[in-house]
Amino acid sequence: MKQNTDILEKIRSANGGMTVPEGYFADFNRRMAASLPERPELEHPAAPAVDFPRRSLWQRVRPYVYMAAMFAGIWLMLQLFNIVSHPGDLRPMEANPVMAEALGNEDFMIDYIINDAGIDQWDIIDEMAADGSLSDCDFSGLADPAENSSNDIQE
Amino acid sequence: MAEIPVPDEALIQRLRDPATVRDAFAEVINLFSEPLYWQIRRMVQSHDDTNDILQNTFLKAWGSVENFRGDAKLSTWLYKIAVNESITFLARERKRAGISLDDQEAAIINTIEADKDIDGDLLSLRLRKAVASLPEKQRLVFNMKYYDDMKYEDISEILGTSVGALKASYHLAVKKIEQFFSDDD
Repeated sequence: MKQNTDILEKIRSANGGMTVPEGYFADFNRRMAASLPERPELEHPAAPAVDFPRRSLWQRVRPYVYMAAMFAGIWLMLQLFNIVSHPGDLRPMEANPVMAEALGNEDFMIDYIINDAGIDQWDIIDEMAADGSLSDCDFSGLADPAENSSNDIQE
Repeated sequence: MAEIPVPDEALIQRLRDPATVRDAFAEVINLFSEPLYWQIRRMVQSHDDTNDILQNTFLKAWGSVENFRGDAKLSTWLYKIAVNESITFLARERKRAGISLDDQEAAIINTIEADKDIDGDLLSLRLRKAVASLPEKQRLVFNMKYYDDMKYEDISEILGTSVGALKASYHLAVKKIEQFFSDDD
């Protein structure tokens, strides 16, 4: 077995006893290099086709402006929905001094209720009589309705 | 036995530069044509077939030279292409002749006996026949280790087999060749 290993050592230096024709490698190298196909995409890669023009400031900020406008619109819509769904919370009275002054003026309110609110004044008097509010009222300055009626008849 | 050349870093850089890639690849051909030739020849035995496979090897390498990133050895990359081309050729020949993998051994021995490009050394001729009797994978491992003295790590990268399996494969191949010579004597 040792002898056989020696045989392998002995043959190692040869190319397995194979040969090539004279000048084969030089000829092959020359032919091979000459026959390499053209590869324009490798050897002449295209330069960037378009040099994009510089964008103006407005063009650069436009997307952000549009986005801000969109959010503002959404916020306004939410506010509108809130107002519609909670009308009592429309505005606090302190924030509307004209309305506060009008409601604080008793004469104005009485005139409003009697003349403009479409409420029958006799209904108000009946209500006041029912809850005893009329006892606090001073009717001394008023003419007797019965007298007025008789006078009217007499006239 | 052809030494496996080690290309310098400048050549690798020139392969990556579009302006110099063609000249650099011509240099790669000059460097590697001989070791690749012998690697292929030891597989297919015939000079004419080897010549065709070597051309295909370089054409394939040229067609995908941009894929060579330099993180692997240039020699490993080229050997891998050459080995694949050789195996593809042998498979095509089997299919063309309608023979099995086992029967191809006899066909290769016939090719060896018909080969005219030899130096007449009978011992070498016997070794070629002994190597031809090995299974395809063992033949590849034996050729790379015995003739080219390649590192197992490099063979592992080329063949995609673990170093341990390659060592076992080479050991088996040597045993079979020794047995071949013993039986022949």
